Amino acid sequence: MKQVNQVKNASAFVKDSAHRSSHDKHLWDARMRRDKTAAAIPEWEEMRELASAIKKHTLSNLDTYLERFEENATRNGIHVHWARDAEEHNRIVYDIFQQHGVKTITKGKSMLHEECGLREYLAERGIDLAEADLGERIQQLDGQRPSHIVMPAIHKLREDVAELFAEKLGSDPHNDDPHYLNKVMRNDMRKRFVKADAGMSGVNFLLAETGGFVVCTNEGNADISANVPPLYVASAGIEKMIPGPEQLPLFIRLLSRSALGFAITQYTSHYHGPAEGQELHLVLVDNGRTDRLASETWEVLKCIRCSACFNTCPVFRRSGGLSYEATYAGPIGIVLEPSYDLHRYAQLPYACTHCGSCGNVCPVKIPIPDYVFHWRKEVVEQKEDLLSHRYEMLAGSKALASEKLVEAGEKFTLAALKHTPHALMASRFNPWAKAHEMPAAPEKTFRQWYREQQKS
Amino acid sequence: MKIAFFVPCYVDALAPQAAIASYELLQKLGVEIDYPDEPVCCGLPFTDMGYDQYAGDIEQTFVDHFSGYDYVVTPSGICTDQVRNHFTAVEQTPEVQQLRGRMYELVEFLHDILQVEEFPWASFPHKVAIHNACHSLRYLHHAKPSELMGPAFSKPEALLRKVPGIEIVYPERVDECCGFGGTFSIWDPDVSAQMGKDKVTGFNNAGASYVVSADYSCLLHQGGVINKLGLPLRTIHIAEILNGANA
Amino acid sequence: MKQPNDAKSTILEKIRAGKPDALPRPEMPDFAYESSDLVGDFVRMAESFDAKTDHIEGIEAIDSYIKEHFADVNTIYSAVEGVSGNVHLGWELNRPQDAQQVDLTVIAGVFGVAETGSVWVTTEQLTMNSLGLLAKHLIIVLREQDLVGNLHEGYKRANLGSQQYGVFMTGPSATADIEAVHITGAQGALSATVLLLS
Repeated sequence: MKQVNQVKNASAFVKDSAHRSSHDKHLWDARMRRDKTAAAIPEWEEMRELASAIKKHTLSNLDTYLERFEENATRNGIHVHWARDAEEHNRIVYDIFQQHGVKTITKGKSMLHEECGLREYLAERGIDLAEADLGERIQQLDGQRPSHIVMPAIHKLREDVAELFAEKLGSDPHNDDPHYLNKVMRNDMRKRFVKADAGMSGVNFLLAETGGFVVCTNEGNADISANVPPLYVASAGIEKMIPGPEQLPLFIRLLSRSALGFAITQYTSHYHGPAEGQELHLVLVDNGRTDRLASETWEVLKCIRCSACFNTCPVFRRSGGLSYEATYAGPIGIVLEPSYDLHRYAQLPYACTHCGSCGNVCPVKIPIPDYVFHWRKEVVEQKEDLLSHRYEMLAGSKALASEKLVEAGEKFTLAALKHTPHALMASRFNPWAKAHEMPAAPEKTFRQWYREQQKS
Repeated sequence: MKIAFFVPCYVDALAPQAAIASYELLQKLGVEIDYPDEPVCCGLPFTDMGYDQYAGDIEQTFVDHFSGYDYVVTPSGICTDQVRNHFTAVEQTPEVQQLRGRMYELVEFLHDILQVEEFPWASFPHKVAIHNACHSLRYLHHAKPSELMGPAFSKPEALLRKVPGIEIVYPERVDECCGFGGTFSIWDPDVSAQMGKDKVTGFNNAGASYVVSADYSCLLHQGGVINKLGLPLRTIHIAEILNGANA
Repeated sequence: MKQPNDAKSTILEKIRAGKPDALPRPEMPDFAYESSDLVGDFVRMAESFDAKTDHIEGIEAIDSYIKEHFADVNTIYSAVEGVSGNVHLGWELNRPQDAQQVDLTVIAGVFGVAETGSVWVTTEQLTMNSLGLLAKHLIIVLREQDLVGNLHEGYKRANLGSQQYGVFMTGPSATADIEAVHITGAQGALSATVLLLS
């Protein structure tokens, strides 16, 4: 697959000040709300540490927990399936639908479904699937993937949505009031909910000890999809496991506060079996997770998909999530996606200033900043780096190990600053000069000053 | 106490005033300083870009020059972070490990080791905005990052508060990255520039006359953007203020 | 509906071969909730999620409360003894989809959580889950004595696993997916009222 050029993808977005500044502001606001709600909990940092330790414990015993989960879930009347990869997951889901003659589905938003390309897979097989989360529905109608884990269409402005809904749902193209647009969505979706042959959702947490699972939404879209049709199919990455109800409150307290700065999601729902007259299936999915578990960066599997790292990331806020051309964007994406396909995502680990804020907001303390270094190193070691970089670095490593050449380089820089005509310095050959005035050349280096001092 | 003074390449060439002020300040504080008068690189660009494997000789040259002192002090957070936290291309001998533990950025050295109580020669009757470079903030722990919960502290602010006349302000986004990010500003100049614009606009809105930082790398970037935008802001290294600059 | 077992054994084998050394299971500390006013905290939090809250003297007062505050509703389903409804399970309401025609559902909450303003509700209170999800408006009756401090206490009380479906409901359905504008009444209930019984 072609290598993703995130920088190029981001360039239009960063220059589009209306979209960029709206995106930046709303995500920064979420980060500020997060700080405020976190500050109100004296044990916040202790909770993060604990959540990390619980996830590490569970992951390092994942086989036992999965077996315990399956046993308990089966006892609860849940049909448990196992899928090694995206294709197997999609096939299992489709087979279930085939057996039940399913034609229409409403579905809660799920990153795992994005990862598996489920929407496209079912569409190709003639199944009418409607995303039931407003943001995700917007993205589905626009033929785009979500740009953000919990705010899938946050890169759009209200007028973009008005235009899209007018075209796809026949609404008033001149009315871009978000309340109106929400009503358009609600009215359309309500018809679908009562017609749907099956409902689907992702999963936020698997509970090994009770054999149940937890789904968190603000709109209630997953709950309706799960409870109204006669068939409910949920999909969970195997890393969603935690031991049980004793640990769960810790994660629920962290999740929505980290994501949006709210104490909880409006619907925090727990399933321990099918509703009366219903059939409930759960697909446990690997899709690369066991490989990751065996790797140096296994702690990425602690991720609870809150998106706090997106909101705080200064690069993400100005680039937009679509620029990453990946299921997972932002800080977690740039250390996760290369493990799926190093060649395709070799440039993502460079979409980072090393500011380090992502590691501090992460509710499960994934060492994202360290992993950025890890992946850059991996990119170089696997020769997926840009050739121009490699030559520069190789030449530089020789020069900079030599005192004489370092000094020559500094002198050259000063001479260049002093003698290059402004027009050339500010030309397109110097990307720095688009947004910067070049610094004035100092009279002398520190070293020259020091030597003069020593003489006098 | 004998220290070695390390002047990173970009400070030597582009911000010698920060190094001069640091050097003079340390002298005023009675520190015995050795300056190995040979340019040496800490290897940061290599680690930053993932080319650690090429940095072995560079790191060895650094070790050869700076081992054996009580402390190595430098007016640069990024280079301190590099040596302290990422100096792994060279074999981790006891000598190397000792050096890494003794590497100090200037503000930390003044605040934690010398525990300076006053700067009687300093006075700075201006409104300054503090810019904590991300490396100094989050990897050297100069201050409490806004996103971590717990008691607030700031070493640069504590030092600047000892300077008579100074007024300290912060932008609305207290410690958002300014977009320099070392090689990032070359990797993605558009996003980097936008971050720079947002940052200096924040300083300007806070009513600052000066942006002060312990890291001149960020200030070079911000200074370039300030001048391009024509904002009434000036950049200054913290050592210059503490050393008595009175612009 | 059993698929071949090899996916399961492959996944478990890969985990066993590659997982990190087993790390201990941390003890859960007792995170206490410090407050002398659970009712006040609950009301403040619930309202921050756009729930309406009110105090009532007794169950018998709810019918008139509905007449006064929900004058427009036509169909009322009540799962609370002592509150009158005009549509009933087994009559107008047979399938989960039928809940779509309900304007107002009245249910009892098991307990409330002061930390978040949430009410714990399960299939037992909902009688049919969709009645709490598709109804336009929701009234949850909650005894003040059934308030707990934080979610740790809440989950102890929830006794997960004993019910097919259990949900912490916090305010009505909401979204902020368009330009982060906060909107109540996304896919679920347009309004949620918690009536506190003292």
